[in-house]
Amino acid sequence: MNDNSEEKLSALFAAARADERDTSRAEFGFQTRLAARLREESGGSLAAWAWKLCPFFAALALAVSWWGHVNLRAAAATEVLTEATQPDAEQVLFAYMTGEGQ
Amino acid sequence: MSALAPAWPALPFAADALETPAMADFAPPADEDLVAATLGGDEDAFAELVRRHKRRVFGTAARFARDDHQLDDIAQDVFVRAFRHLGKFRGDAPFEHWLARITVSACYDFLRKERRIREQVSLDAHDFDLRDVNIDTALAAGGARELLEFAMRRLTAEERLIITLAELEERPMREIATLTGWSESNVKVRAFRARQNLKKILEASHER
Repeated sequence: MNDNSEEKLSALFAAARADERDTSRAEFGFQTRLAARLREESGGSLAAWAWKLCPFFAALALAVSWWGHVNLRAAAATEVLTEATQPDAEQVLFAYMTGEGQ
Repeated sequence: MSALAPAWPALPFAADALETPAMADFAPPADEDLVAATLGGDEDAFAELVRRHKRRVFGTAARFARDDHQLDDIAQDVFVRAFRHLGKFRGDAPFEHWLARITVSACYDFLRKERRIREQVSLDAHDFDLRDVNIDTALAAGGARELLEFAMRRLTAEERLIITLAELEERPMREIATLTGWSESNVKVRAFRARQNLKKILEASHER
């Protein structure tokens, strides 16, 4: 490129500006495609959120089952404790039913 | 979304009807009103915004896309971003300016992505056809756009963006600074360097 390269480059830009691309073909049906994509993305985002929440729900299920298990054991222990703290309950009931000791 | 359905009644066809005082009732809503309606859940309002502004978005995107498929991708990206971030539109500047910033951002992201792909792929056959063509020949043969595109694909994403906005779209430096988020002096320096690099590329391709 010689000394008048700046002028040539400017001429190239001017020619490129004048040769504007026709976008009408690409624009055809654009709004329909865009609407479909927006719908897809909003549906996709719900699915994505559902997948993201999976670990949370799994952890919640584990926590609930662990709590249930612990609670059951605690209830059983309480029952045993209650029985243990009232060793004569059966005797009292037996005496009441049979009328002994009155 | 019923994409093509307008959100307001059509203008009356009779010319005299346009001169009646009731004409104001049929005035199309402003962009800001359409934005508010879209945020309120009116999808037709967004369809109308797209209809109004797609020509300009396509015009800018066409400077960067190589084919209609890429053009469609960029334009969709612009309007998807606009739809997602519509709540951030404050109305301080016209909607058109806000959308122009999104367009430039989407085009810049497209250029960076394409450059990463091009770094992994060798020059295609199209490039070899063009690389021996100089500016005079291109101007004479009406191939200026192709030659410029060939040379600009060798620029960085920043350089290509700034050359396109400054030289092909003839936007003022201040506006480019607003659109890109770069300072005005930074834009000037980048524009100068991009132009120098472009000249070197054209010179090298001709001497080869």
